[in-house]
Amino acid sequence: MGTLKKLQKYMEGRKILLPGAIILSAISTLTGMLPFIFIWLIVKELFASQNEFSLGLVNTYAWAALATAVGGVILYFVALSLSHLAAFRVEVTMRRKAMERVISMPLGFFDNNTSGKIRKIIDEDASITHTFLAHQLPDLAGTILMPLVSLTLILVVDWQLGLACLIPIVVSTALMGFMMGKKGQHFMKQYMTSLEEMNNEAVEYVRGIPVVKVFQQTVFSFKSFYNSIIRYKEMVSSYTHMWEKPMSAYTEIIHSFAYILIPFSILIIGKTGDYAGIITNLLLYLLVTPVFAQSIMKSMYLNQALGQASEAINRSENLTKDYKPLATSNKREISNHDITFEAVSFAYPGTDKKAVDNVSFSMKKGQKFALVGPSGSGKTTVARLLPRFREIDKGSIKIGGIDLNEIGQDELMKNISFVFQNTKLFRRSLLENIKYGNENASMQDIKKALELAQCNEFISRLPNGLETKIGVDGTYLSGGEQQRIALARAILKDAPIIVLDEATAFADPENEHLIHKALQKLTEGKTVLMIAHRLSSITDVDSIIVLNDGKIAEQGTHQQLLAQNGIYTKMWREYQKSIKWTISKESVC
Amino acid sequence: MLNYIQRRLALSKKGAKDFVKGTFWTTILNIAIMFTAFYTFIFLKEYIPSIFAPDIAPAKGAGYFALLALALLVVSWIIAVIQYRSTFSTIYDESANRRLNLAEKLRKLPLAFFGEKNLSDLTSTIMADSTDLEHTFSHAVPQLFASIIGVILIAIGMISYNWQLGLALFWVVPVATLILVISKKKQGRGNKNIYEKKREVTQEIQEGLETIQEIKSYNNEAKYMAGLSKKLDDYEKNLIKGELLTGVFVNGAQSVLKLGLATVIIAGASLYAAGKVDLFTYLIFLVLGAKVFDPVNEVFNNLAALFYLDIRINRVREMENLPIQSGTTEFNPTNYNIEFRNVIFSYDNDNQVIQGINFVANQGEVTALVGPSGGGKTTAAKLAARFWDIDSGEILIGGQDISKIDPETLLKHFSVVFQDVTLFNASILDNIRIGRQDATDHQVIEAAKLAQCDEFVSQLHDGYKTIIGENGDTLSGGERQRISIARALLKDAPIILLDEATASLDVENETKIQRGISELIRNKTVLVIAHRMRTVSNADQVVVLKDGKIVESGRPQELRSRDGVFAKMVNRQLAEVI
Repeated sequence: MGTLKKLQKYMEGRKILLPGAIILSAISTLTGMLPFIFIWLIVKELFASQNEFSLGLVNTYAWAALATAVGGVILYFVALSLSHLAAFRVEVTMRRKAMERVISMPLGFFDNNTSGKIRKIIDEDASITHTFLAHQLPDLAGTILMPLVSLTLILVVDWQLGLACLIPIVVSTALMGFMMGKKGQHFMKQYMTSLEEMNNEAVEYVRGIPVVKVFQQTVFSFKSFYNSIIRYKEMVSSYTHMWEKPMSAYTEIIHSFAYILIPFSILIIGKTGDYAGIITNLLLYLLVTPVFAQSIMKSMYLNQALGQASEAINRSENLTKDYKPLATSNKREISNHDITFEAVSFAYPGTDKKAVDNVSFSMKKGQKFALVGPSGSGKTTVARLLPRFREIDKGSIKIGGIDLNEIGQDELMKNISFVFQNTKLFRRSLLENIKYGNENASMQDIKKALELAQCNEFISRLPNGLETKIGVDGTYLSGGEQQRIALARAILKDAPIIVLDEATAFADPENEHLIHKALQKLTEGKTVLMIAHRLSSITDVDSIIVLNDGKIAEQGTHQQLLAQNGIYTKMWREYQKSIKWTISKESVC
Repeated sequence: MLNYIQRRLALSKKGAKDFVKGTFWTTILNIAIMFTAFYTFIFLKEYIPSIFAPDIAPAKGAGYFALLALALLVVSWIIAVIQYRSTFSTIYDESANRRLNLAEKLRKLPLAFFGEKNLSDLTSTIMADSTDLEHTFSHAVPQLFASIIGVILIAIGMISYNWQLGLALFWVVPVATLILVISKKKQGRGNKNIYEKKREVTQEIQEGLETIQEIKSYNNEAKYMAGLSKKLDDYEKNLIKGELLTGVFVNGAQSVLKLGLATVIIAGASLYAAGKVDLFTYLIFLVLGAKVFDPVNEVFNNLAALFYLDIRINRVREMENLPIQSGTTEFNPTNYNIEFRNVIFSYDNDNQVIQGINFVANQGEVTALVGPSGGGKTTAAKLAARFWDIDSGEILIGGQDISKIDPETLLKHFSVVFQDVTLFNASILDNIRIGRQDATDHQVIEAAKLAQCDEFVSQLHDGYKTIIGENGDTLSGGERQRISIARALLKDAPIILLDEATASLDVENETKIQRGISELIRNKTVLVIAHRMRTVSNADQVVVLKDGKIVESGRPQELRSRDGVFAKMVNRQLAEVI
C-alpha cells in the first residue's frame, strides 16, 4: 500500500499510534460482540427449566453484557482518539512540508503557479487525508475481523443453521461485489470527472459574469455551466436508476436472515425435537448476523477514501516535481560588485524558443544600466536572471568575478535588492513591514529610510502612525503608498546591487512623482540594472541595452543610440508621440 | 410544516415535498425491516411453550412460516424500491435546481460585486456545499428522521405492551439526548475555535505565497516557517481538544444507550422470577434491547456531519439573500446625457465615498474625471452604469432614473473599457464577437484592426481562430486591452466608460492602443477616468474629485489658469515627463 507508506512519513513520532488504533479497534469489535454471547447464555439458562433459573447468574451475565458493551465503546473511542492524533499530525505536517518545499523553490516557480492554486493544494489537500486515516483505516480491522469471527462462531455453534445463514451472506456479498465492481468503478470515475468539470465551469462562469452583463451574452459561459449541471444530474440519475433493483435487493437481503433461519430451524426441530437448543441458537444467530451488513457497508467507502487520500498526497508531493531548489557549490562571498553576463541563454521550461539568447554585457560597480525593448523581448527575463529567479541554460552570470552558482543564496540575497511592480506588504504594522528589510535597524535609520522613500507625509496622516496595521481595521494603503513603503524597506536593506522594474503600477500623478523621487534615493551610488518603460527616465544612464527577441540589438548611451538611428531611435519617436496624445471627441491621430 | 422544512433546510417547494416523502418512505422501510422482529415474535409465541412441553407440537409448521416470510419479503421489497426512488432519484433534481438558481442569482448581483477577489472562491465553496448537501440529503437526513420516528414508535408500542420492561429499556433515550443537547452547545464553541485557527493557518500560507519575493529577498525563509509552524501547532492543539470533546460526548451518549440493555435484563429477570411477566415477553425485550438502538447509534456517528449541515445551509442561504438589482426593461432615452444629482454613496454605510456630487456629462462630449487616488473618480464612473446602487440622490440618463432600469437593459447602452479584462477559453474571434453576437467575421476583424489587434493576432499560429486558454492566459496585458477595445468598438454603444490607464498599461504599444481608443470614443458620451493630465487637455469638461467631493469643474484651459488642484497636478506632471 504505497499511499499508506507515504502518509506514514508525515506522522512524525506518532507512527506507532496507527497500528495501535487498528489493534484497539479490532479488539473493540470483538468486545462489542460479547454482549450477544451473554444474552445467548441468559436464554440458555432461562430455557433450562420452566420457572427455575438462577437469578444471580442472569444478573452476572447482565452486568457482563453491560461491561463488554461499554468496554467496546470505550476501546473504540480510544482507538479513534489514537487514529485522530495520527491523522491530525499528518494534516499539519503535510502542510508544513509542502510549504517548506515550495518556499525553497527558485522564484521563477511562482510565475507558473498562482498563489491561490498552490495554497489550495497545500491547504485543502492536507484535509482530505483525514477521513481515511482517522476513521476508515481503524475501522478496516473490524470490517475484516467481524465477518470472520462471526462466520466461525456461526459454523461452530450449529453448522446446520450456519449453512442456512450463508445463503443471504453469499447473495448480498455478490450483489455488493457486482455494484462495486467494474461498472461501479467506472461510474466513480465518471462521477468525479463530471463533478470537477461542473465546478470548473462554475468558476469560469462567475469570472465571466461581468462580461456577460456588459455585453448581454448569456450564451457562452452560462450555457456551458448549465450543460455541465444537467450532464451531471443526468449521469447521477441514470446511475441511481440503474442501481435501483440491486440496491433494493441488497437492503432487503441483509435484513432478512430471520426469514430463512426460522423455517430452517423448524425443519431441524422437526428432525431432532430439540426445541430449547435450536431456539437458543437461533436467537444468537439473529443477533449476530446483522453485523455482516454493517461490515460490507463500511468496506464500500474504504476504497473511495483511500483513492481520495492517495490523490491528495500525490498532488501535494508533485507540486514541485518539475523544479529543483537552487544548488550552490562553493558558498563564496561577494567582495566586488561588478556584474558580467557571458553568452547567457535561457528558455522557459516547456518551450523551445530562447527567451534570452546569447546575451553578454558587463557593468562596473556603481554603474546604471537600463534594459529596453518591446514586450516579449526578454528584458524582464534578463533582469530576473541576476537574482537567480531561474537557472540559466548556457553561459554564466558573475558578480565580482564569482559565478552565481558559487554564491550562497543568503549571500546573494544580502547583496541584491529587487524592486518589482508586484511588491506586497505583510498584514502587520507598518513598522514591522519596514523593519523586514533590516531586523537590527535603529529607529533613526528607519526614520531616515521613510523620509527618503517619501513616506512621511502619508504616515503622519494615519491615526496610529507607524503602528498602523495594514489590512486590519479597514486600513488600506493606495498602490503608490504601498510601493513607497516597499521602497523604504529596500532603502533600509541597503544592498549594493539593485534590480529594478521602473514601471509604476498605475498611480495618480502625485504618487508617481513621489515614487520617482524615492527610486532616485534608493539607487544613489548603487549598481543598478533596471527595466525601463518610460524612455524619458533613462536618458542619463551609463548604458542602455536594447533587446529584441532575446538578443541584444543595440547598446550605448542615449545619445549614442539616437545617433545610430536604429530600433531605439524609433522607440524614442513613438514615445514622444504617445505622451502628446489627448482624449477628445475629434480623433487626433 | 412544509414551509418550515423548506426554510430550515433551504429547499425549494418541490424539494421540501420530496424530502417529506423521502423521510416518510424511509420510516416505512425501517418499519418493514422491523417485520423480521414481529415475524420472530410470532415464531417464539408459537414455539416457546414446546420448550418445556416437547410433546405438544406447535400448530404452525415450516410451511406456514416459509409462506409468511415470502409474503413479508414481497411487501418489503416493494417498500424498499419505493424508498429508494423517493430519496435517491429526487434529490438530484433538487440539487440541480439549487445550482441553477445559484447561477441565476449570481448573474443578478450588482456588477461591482465581481470586482471582489474571493468570489470565485465563494462559488467553489458553494458548489462543494451543494454536493455535500446532496449526499447528506440522500443518505443521512432522511435516515435521521426515520430513525427518530422509528424509535419513538417502537418505544410507544413496547411501553404499552409492558410498561415496566418498556421503561427499563427506554429510559436511556432521554438521558442520551440530553447529553447531546448539552454537547452541541459546547461543541459550538470548540468548532468556532478550530475554524478560526484553521483560517489563521490558511491566511498565513496565502500570505507567505503572496510575499514570497520579499521573504526570499530578505533571507527570511526560516523565520517564516517558524511562524507557520507555530500556527499549525496551535491549530493541531485546538483540533485535538475539539475532537476529543465531541468524542467524549458522543461515546458517553452511546454508552448510556448500552445501559438500557443491562437494566432490561436485570429488571426482566426479577419480574420473570416473580411471575409478573412470561418468558415470551421477556425474550422479546431481550432481543429488542440488543438491537433497537442500532439506528440511533448510526445517527450519533454521523452527528458531526449533521451539525455541520447547518453551516452549509447557512452559507447557501446567505448567498440566496444577497440583494439583487432589478428594474424595468423599458429604456428608450431621447438622448444620452448623464446627470448626477446630489449623489451620495458608501460601500458599507460608514464611509461616504461619494459625498453629494452634481455634474452633467453631455452626449457627444468627453468628460474627464480626475483627482488623487481614493478621491472617488472610479467609483463615480461605475455608478453611472449602476455597478452599485447609490444611497441617495439620482443618476439620470436621458432624463430617466437609472435605479429603476434593469441593469442588463441599461448596460446595453454602455461600452466599458477598464483595466481588468475577462477573456474566455475560446478563439480570439469569438472573444471579440462577445461585443456583438450577430456580427459577421468580417465585422469582427474590422473592429480588431481598428483596435490594433491585427499585428499580434497575425503572429499566432491559428490567427483569429487561435484558442487563447483559460482567461486568455497566453496573452500579454496590452494584447488583452486591445481585445477589450475591439469588443467595445464592435458593440458601438452610445456611452463609453473608459479608464485611461488602459491606454498606458502596455507602454510598448501605447500609441497603438491610443489610436484604438480615439476611434472608439468618437462622437459618444464619454466618461473617462483620467490619470495623465496632458491627456485630458482637449476634453470638453474636467471634473476634479477629491475626498468624494467635486472641488473644481470646467474646461481644462479654464482650470489650468485657476491655480487650483487641477493646475497643480498638471504642473507636477509636466515637470515629471521629460
